[in-house]
Amino acid sequence: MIKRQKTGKITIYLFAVLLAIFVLFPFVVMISMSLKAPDEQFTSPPYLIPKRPTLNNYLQVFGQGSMFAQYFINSLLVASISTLIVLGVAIFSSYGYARINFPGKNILFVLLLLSQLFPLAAIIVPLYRIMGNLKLIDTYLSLIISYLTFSVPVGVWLLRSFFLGVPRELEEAALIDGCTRFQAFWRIVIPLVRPGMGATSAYVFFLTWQEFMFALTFINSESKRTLPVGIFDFVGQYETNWGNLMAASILVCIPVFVIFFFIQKQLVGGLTEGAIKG
Amino acid sequence: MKKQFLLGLVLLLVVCLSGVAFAQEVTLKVWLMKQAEVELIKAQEEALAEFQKLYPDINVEFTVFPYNEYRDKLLIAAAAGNPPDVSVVDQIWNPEFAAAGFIMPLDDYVAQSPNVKKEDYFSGAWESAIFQGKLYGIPFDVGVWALNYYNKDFFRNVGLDPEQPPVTWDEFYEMGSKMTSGEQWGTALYVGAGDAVQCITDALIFSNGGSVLDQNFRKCTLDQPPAVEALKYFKKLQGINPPGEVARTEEDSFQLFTAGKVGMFWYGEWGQDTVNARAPEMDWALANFPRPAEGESIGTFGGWNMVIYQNASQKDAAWKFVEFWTSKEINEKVSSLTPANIEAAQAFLNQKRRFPEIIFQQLATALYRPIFPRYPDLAEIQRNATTHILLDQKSVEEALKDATREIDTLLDEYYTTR
Amino acid sequence: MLHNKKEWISGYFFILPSLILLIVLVFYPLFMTFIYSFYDMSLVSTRYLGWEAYQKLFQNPMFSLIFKNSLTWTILVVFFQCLLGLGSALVLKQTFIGNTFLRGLVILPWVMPGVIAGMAWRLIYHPQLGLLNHYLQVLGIVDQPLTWLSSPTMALYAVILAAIWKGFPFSTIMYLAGLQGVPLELYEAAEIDGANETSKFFHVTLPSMRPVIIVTLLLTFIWTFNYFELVYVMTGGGPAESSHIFPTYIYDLAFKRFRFGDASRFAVVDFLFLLIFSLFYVRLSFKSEESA
Repeated sequence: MIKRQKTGKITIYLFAVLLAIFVLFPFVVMISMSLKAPDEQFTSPPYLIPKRPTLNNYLQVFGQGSMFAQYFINSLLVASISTLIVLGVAIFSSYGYARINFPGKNILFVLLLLSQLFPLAAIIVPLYRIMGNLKLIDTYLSLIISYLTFSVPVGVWLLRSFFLGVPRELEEAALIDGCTRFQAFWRIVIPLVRPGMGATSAYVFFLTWQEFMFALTFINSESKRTLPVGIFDFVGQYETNWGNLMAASILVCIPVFVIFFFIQKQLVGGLTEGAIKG
Repeated sequence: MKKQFLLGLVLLLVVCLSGVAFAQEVTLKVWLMKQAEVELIKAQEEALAEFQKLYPDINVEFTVFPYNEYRDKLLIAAAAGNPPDVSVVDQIWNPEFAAAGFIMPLDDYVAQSPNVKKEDYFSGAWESAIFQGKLYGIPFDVGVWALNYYNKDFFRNVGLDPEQPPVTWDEFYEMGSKMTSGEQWGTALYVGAGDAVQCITDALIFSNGGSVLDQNFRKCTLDQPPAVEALKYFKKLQGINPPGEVARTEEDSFQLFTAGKVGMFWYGEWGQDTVNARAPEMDWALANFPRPAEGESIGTFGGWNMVIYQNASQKDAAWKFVEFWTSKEINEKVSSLTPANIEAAQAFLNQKRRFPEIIFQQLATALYRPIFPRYPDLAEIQRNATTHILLDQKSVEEALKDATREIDTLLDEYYTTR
Repeated sequence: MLHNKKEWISGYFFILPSLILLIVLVFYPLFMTFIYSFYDMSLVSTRYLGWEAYQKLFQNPMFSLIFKNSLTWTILVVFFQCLLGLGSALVLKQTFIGNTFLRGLVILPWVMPGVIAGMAWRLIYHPQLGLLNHYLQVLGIVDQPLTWLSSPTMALYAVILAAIWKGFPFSTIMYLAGLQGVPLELYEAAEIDGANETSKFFHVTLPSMRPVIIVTLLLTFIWTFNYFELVYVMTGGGPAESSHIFPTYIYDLAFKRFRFGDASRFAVVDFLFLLIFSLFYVRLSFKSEESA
């Protein structure tokens, strides 16, 4: 019996190690490339540990002639504003869907979910025309607006599950005490879903932080480009600066990794709840 | 009260006057390719400052894009009626932009210009800007596909003289076969996704006395013997190159060369800095693109032309900028490829490149790719033919016959609907 | 009744902002795409085709290829993400040293931007200088380097492997949450009945996780079907257009070739397919729920 338990433990560790290798391998490759000088980047045979590790790639990413810092600010700006707007909109709508009964609610909610069914490429041509007519091409606003197309439905859906998790009795008591629906919502429920709001914001931030297609299509000026598009600056007409590219990529990943580290628990709760009750 | 009124009047006048002065200033929107080199960005800024000293009333606004996005962005902006005033375009897009009416003919400007003269530029580059008899661009920079980079150690290792690189197709193949064993190969072909492979196959066809389209660009000639032989030779080289050429890009092949996996590699002159950075120890040299036994070594032109858009509100100012940017002194400093101005090119090559004579000679004889507004579609048909050949999905004859038929349909379709 | 009406109105008031945004930004453009799909549209000309447009679409050999690729891509990615997600969730549910750490790590692929994942995998797949082929050769699994992204027969599958890696953490966290929701009493009852680990898994764990699995499969199916970045960055649809799926081909048609009409038709089919699929899927899973 003890022997069986022991082999069981060993198997678990074996699987855990295999899982870790599978998950981490691409990251290790990226880090390795980002620490290599050009003459070590493509060798035969290839190797992981740089012989003469260097931080030059990271310095060059922020160096003269590089717009990386600007892209970083742009991404931060666009993702934060989008997140705030989505949160502002979703907070009301998700409460409405979670708590209040009104005719057509189910149909409208299905409509909301329906918007997840098509690829963003399907609406990009009309959106481009709309942006063009409004003279919004090449503005931050074009990105923020287009990001609402996918982040509002997700935000509402996710936040709704957090509202569903709040016991109904609390509001009902407040309503009986003479609060209006809005007061009950604002004073009683909102404080209770704060963690959910954090998780929803983080998820929306994560979606908008890495958005690529709209950013590629709507922005022209270098000074307004966001990171996912901007890192392709290191891909030239003939040659790619892989060292710089990978250094920049790692820097792009860090903020979302940090955010996820902190909100993972809430987010997972919201996603599973939302999925099952949605 | 009166005093205040007067003061107000004066202020108003000042505002009006300065407003007028402001209105006379012109802002040019100029789109260029994103440059990675810090030195080059600095040179561009300095050149721009110089221009502004010459023409204080012309403001220039640069917008730069990485290569991958550049064409799409230009076309979308132009189609939406919101193009820049001036931009560089790849030679192969020049006819497309001209046919769509996005850019304007420059013949009148050139006729009156004391500075811009046809004979100052590489003829292959100049002719790439001519569409239906009119000149639609001024060459800015050029490059030539393909020079033969070779690793001298590979020659030594198999007992070949590294000072005697291959001259003919057969020599190239034979030397390459000697170098091919186990994990090393003679050369690394590429098909990739860009136009590089067309540059290579076209150069082989040109060197063999053939062409892609006839002289008037109205009929495809890929099914003719010179092209068939050229592609057969290309197919033969598959045997001395590592597997995977069909989706390998020129960049991947380049990495194989700098990693010491292949002995020879066809590429443009701009690759020299990369070889030095990636393989500082390598003893490499450059030779002419191999030619058929009975042929001449002819490369394919690449490069960028400067164009002015029909929508530009200040065309004269735009021309001044083009004239300035393509002039010998400036051109030499601000281009990352070899300058299109011949004199500037010589200075540039002597200063920045090894084997300048070979490069110059190949540039002087290189030919441009077919001039056709739907060149990207044509190139895609060529690439598919090359892919089919390399994957043994079709014989060379069959693939080229099919490609010729498709290209002819494309040409007919284009010219009958105009 | 009056109270109800007031309740209704406040309900509409609450959902109004998102509804307006949805209509203006999503359904109006979607409607326009439907309209465009009946036209032949390029940068310079527009021509009405009507239903003929769809006839042409269905005859287009690219259409069947894209459909086939999209299905292969989606089914394989979803299947293996589910499998790997379940497997890793089962591992992570156990107690071992470093468990919390590993849980944090596992999520990273899902969190990283898709374009970056694509570039990293391109490095790994380099046929001669990439580490994957190198290790496979060192371990003696292959003797010739595999051409991964370079061959039309392999490219899509190579991207599929990367996509499995990129997306499986979502399944992991969903299933992990699902596993923790399985009532312990059920396991105890099964143990009393003398069930071994395997039969506990099939008779207790899986049935209890049914709702989570159903939803996760649907979500990953939809997301994967419409996932753009990996294919776009890793192969660009190549070689020789062999690895295009719906979203990449739609983007290519629209913004590389400026064939807006064609792009819209592909988009409409993409949408309708997912709509019909989801309806059937939801129907079926409800039905079997009732019968179960």
